Amino acid sequence: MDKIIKQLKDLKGVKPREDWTKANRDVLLAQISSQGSARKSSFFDGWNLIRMMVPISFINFLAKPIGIVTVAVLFVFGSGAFTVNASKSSIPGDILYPVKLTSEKVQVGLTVSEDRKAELHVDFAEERVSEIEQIAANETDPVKRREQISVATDNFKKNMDNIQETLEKVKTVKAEKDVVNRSIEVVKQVDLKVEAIASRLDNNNDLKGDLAVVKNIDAAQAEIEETQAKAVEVIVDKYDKGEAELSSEEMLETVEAQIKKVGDRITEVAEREKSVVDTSGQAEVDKVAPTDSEKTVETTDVTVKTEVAGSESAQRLLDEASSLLNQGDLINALEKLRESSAIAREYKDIIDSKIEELIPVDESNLEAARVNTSAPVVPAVLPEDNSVDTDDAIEL
Amino acid sequence: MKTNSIKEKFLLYKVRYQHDATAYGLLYDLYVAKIFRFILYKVSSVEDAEDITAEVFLKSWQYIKTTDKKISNFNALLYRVARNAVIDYYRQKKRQDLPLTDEDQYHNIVDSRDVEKDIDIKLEVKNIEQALDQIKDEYREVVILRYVEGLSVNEIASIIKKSKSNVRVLLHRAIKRIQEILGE
Repeated sequence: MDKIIKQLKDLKGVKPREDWTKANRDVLLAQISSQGSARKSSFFDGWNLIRMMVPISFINFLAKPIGIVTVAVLFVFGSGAFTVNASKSSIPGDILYPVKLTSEKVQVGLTVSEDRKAELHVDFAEERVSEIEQIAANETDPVKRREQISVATDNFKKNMDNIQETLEKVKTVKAEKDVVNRSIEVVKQVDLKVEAIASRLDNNNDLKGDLAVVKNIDAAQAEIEETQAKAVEVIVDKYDKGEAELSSEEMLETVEAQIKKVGDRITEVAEREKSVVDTSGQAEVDKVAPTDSEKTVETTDVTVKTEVAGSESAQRLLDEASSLLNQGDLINALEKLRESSAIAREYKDIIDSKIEELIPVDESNLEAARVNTSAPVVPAVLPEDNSVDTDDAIEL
Repeated sequence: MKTNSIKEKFLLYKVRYQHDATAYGLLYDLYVAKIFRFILYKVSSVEDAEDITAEVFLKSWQYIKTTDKKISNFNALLYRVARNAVIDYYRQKKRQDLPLTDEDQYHNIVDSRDVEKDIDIKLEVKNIEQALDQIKDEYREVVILRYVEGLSVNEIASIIKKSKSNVRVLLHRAIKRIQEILGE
């Protein structure tokens, strides 16, 4: 593999012809110059320059003293403190919602410890879920409901990204054993809390009636899965390097739990797949199933009954992960697990889009089909066009 | 922060807020080879790759000048524009009912451009290029972005609009497939 990567790096030597590069540069500059002259400097240019040049880390560094001053000012002017406090119950669409998000950023900016930052990000993610629940339960206008839930889930995904980044920092930082052990405890707590968040979203029936909302929640669930995978990765890494005091039984349990989670997801995907197959026939699904085989995808117009379906492919990788785990090869087990999880997610997306194709009119049926996967969906009219996404359609 | 990154941001600022053509010329110098390479491995024809590369830089200039959106990564922006330009190219080609690939032309690429002079390296380059030619475009794309251009998984995910785990899986499968082709 290293040899292949080295050979690939050699391709950097491939360059455009020098005479073309130069000639094209001249043509390009002539073209853009003819489109209008350069603008004169304005008052805002200085601010724009700062915005583009100053890295986020520096802004965070500045945020600390600014945050302290802000807190001091809030104490002096009580109404400001009241504003921040009042913003705590705001939801997307409220005037005070940006204040709430900013105050969260300031809180993170004022925190030095990565462990504490991870905990804060989880708290904020929980807050986003509360917002989603509140909107789902109270907002009656469907358009507003979709928009607000979309904003909250976008912010939720950012929270999850932040957790993943913080976990990555925890993974790379080298520290004393007791410090690492403390970090591992925090990572475990993060994993548990994120699991609880996933169940909250999963069990909320208010979120199951609207296709747009379901899609947003699915995207949020995908981020949760990534976060949990990251948490397990950190724990395994620290154990593997001998930086944390963890028993092998504990490690096995952690990875086994993750294997079980992915296994449950594969079962869920397989059930969805069955509902589509029952409806439209095996051939339709086979055509879109992602497999390890190159030929399968390149010959989509031919029905290949012997293909390995996505869920089976994911299950096979999961079995390999289990067997690697039994052999004590944690790192490779985790790699297989990650691959299996990604295939399950990818295949779920395909199955979902297939369900959407089958029920183009009444969106509520889609959810019914998802909730009760054992009941096959009977479409009113099967679409004739089996066209795929533009990107996939063009085999370059 | 890397010096290159600071320079790039400053140039981007000059282009965006002062519409400075000279600054854009410097950005062109920084990225033209990368974008050309990325396109070349998608279209397999030096002439077409040159035309599309020229179009990408012109379109990107127009986008930077007019958009209100924040451009945090000029690199990623160029690759996204390049990707769309290649899609347009194939759409157009399909309409004109021309063959999608020209194998003879492809195999002449190595000889017609300025590659490393060393024979061994040249042979290795040819081998890996032939392997790249045989894999799916989505595999080729991530492999080039990751290993040739050195982009992070995160950056690739934002360019091809897939999740990070999808990118990792694509990379894994692509390398596996290249290994099979090269018999390693």
